[in-house]
Amino acid sequence: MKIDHANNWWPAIADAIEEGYFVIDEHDKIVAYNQPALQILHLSPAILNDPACWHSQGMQALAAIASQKEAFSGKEILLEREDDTYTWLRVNGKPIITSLVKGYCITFTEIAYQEDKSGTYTPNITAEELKNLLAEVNRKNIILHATSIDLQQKIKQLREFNSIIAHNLRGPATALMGSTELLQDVREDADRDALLYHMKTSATAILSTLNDLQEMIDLQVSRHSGVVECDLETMVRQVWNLLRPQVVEKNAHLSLNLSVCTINYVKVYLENILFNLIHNAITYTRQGVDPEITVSSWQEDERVVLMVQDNGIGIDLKLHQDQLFRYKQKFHRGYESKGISLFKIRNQVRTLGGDIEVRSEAGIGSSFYVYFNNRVYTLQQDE
Amino acid sequence: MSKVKNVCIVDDDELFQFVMRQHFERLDLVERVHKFTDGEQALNHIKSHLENPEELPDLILLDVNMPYMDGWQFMTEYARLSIPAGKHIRIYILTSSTHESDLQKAREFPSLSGYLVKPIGKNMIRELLVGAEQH
Repeated sequence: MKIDHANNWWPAIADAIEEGYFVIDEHDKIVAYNQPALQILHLSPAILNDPACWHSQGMQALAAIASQKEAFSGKEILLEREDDTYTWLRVNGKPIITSLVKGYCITFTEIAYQEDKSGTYTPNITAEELKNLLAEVNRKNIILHATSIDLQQKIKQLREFNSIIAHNLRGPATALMGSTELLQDVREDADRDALLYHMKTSATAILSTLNDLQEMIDLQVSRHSGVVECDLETMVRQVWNLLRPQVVEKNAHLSLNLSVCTINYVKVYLENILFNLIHNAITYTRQGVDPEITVSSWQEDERVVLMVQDNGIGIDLKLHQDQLFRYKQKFHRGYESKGISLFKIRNQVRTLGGDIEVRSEAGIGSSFYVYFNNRVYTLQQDE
Repeated sequence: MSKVKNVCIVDDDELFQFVMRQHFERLDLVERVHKFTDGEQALNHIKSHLENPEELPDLILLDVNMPYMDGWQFMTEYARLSIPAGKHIRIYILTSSTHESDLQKAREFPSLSGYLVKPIGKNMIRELLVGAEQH
């Protein structure tokens, strides 16, 4: 049998295969194509005669690949057709160089399409659908990002729980344990009374720590309830009034610099944050220096920042940075403090997706920055 | 058996302080017990007796979690002191924490004689005082 290498069969074969192809010459002109190429791209033959057809919407993605004139296979691209439908293509490309011609062949098949019983292709996705899908992906990404931040915060909080258990619960509990061994040896009334007194103090400390831990957990469970628009100036003035006796006693001054006037937050939490930060600012003051306290707010990227600044005694951050927000940590002698307020503030702020930082210099003053993450609402919606 | 001359208990837990002191008195192995409720107090005590090695502590029982200056900060500051040659001060961390991270931290201080997890019983205290307990 003699194999027919002549062109007689070729056009029919080219149209019978599943793949579409274009052959382009050195000048990027289309010199050959088959019917599947037109079907896949929803093109009419007329358009291919237009020299600018590579720039048409339906061809751009292919043109971009073909322009490199290199051999490749299995590249997958999303192609937007002229009629605003989309399709995924698997594309191969190969330079053709013979003694007669020099060109480039690009072949492609759809990798996802819907075919009904009659064998007609239906577009697998419309522009509108794709737009919605992209929006959906974007939304999910934001939620994913927020969730990941939230999880990181939760891990930090769990570590903190762990540390509180190790030190603040196990501490007094082991002391109580140790005292049971001693109890039988203590005969004198005065010693017994003293021992019982200290034992009671330890038991009270355990209970108070347990209450604080429970409060932390309650906060986690009910953290989304009651977010309202809070007016910062009104709240700061209320806090300032509550602290009136100390304000008068220390001749303290308040300045406001609020670029952002309202924050969406749980009202009691924000009150608590403002009260504790301003209370600290007015408590840890330098002798002979009138306290100057500034409350500022501004937008920073997607976050609202609230700053409470003072000219007080400051904190040596080199020494205390790590412990500043930790449970029951104290840094300044001679002040009434349980070392809980900064711990609670940070816990509240983190639970609602924000954070708190401090800049301070001993003898100059402190600035506390609270970052409110306004994206928390997306988390709520998705949970 | 000779008594330990100066023992410092550095711990903000009053019950622990009381219990330790009672045990010391009953065991009758200590001449003087000094009580400090944070690292800074203890450090100042040591600093003020650097010229007088007799008055320096022979044994320090050091808590980790304390206000103002915690046990680790104390150890960092202590390492900077020039303790008179010939004076041996044994320092034991006494903590309620069983965390690996705390144990790891203790390894950063070669001048520590040991790391003990509370509660500390009568027998352990006796061993500490006779110096048999080596970790």
